[in-house]
Amino acid sequence: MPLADAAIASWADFEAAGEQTRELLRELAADPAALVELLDAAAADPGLRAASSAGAASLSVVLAQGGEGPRLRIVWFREDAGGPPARGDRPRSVLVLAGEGLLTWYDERDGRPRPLLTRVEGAGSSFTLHPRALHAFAAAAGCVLLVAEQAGGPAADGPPPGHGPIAPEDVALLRAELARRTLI
Amino acid sequence: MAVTADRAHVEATRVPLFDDVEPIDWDDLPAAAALTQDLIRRFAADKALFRQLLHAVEHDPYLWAKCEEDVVEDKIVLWDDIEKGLRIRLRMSTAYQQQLAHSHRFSFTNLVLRGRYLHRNYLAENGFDENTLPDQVNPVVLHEDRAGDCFTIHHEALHSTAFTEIGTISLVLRGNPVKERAPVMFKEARGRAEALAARERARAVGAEEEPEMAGVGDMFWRVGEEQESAERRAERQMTIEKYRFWCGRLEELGII
Repeated sequence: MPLADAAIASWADFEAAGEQTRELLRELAADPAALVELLDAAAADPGLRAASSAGAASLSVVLAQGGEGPRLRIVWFREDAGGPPARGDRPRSVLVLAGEGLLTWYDERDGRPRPLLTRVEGAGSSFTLHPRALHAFAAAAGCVLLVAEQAGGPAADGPPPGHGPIAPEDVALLRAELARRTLI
Repeated sequence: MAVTADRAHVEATRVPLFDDVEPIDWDDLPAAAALTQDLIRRFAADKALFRQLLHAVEHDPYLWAKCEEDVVEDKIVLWDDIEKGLRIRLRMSTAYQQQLAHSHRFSFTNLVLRGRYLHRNYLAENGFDENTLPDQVNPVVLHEDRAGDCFTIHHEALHSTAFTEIGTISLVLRGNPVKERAPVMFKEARGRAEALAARERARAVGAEEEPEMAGVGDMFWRVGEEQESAERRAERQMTIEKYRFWCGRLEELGII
């Protein structure tokens, strides 16, 4: 069975799904041939390209969705990027493939976000976020993330605001960048 | 004017790395994180200084009194500058650690020196006290902490860092306490018999000592040494044999 189609526990069991998806991401990171195969498939698949998105600072390519496994994405930050604290639209696990970013977890005090924990996530770091986790991730230019997240839902319908759909050339650019950095 | 014990300790040993540090504002967590994460990494990388401070502990009554053997881990305090809000200590696991959701009396920065464990951050939307039930405390961030990882955490954050591998070691740089005690909840039973017995009894809450056996949902409070009786301090005091074991072990592992 291809790695990306591996069935995982329901995200209702956050701990179990988190453990499985972090393991899946580690396996994928350790298998450059599988990653290349997924990138090539994404470049050729209009459905995956439509679910992917390109913005000024980042490129997010959906590598797999629709099977029994999680939705898989690879995100490349071409510039420094970040945003205000927010909750995710779905549970997800993240593996930092290269580069780094600052992850901060918040609570709300008097309606304002208050940082509770902060750390630099470097290559090899892996974590799982529940949609109720108020957080921010400030990526440094060059950061590359692998993401395994709950499939389906509204965010699978298209690019977020400020982002457009991607072309096969975008995937080729990402592929070249990963090769340049010997990640594939 | 008499010099207090903590100042005598700081003034007895010059540490240029710490001399330049201004009092740390732990309420500004991002700024404290930037400062202390750099500081703790530089300290850990300076093995000569690390070794010097570790070997000085047994000769410093102020620090020695703070070194402890607890139920599942040992602690050696290496430095304590109250004026700057800068205490450095080692945390070494000695037994499998259960998942204990807790907050702290102080904010701190942690550098993992050896081992790995799953770090959980929890949300307890209705607060966290003796009335809180275990299913009201749920993880929202799961992080695989590995050797070399460093984080800074606010004293009100609810988390657990169960060292499930014996021999896991962390270096902690903490601020001054801002409360007298901090709550801890067992999300996992400690001891099979207790796990079974806990089903039949009311939750145990309110103790100020960490229990050797506990059921899911049992709670206790962690208190500072100044809140403990002399008998309790004596029970927890690290033995010189254990301290020397750790000195040797840390050298063997290349940590100092």
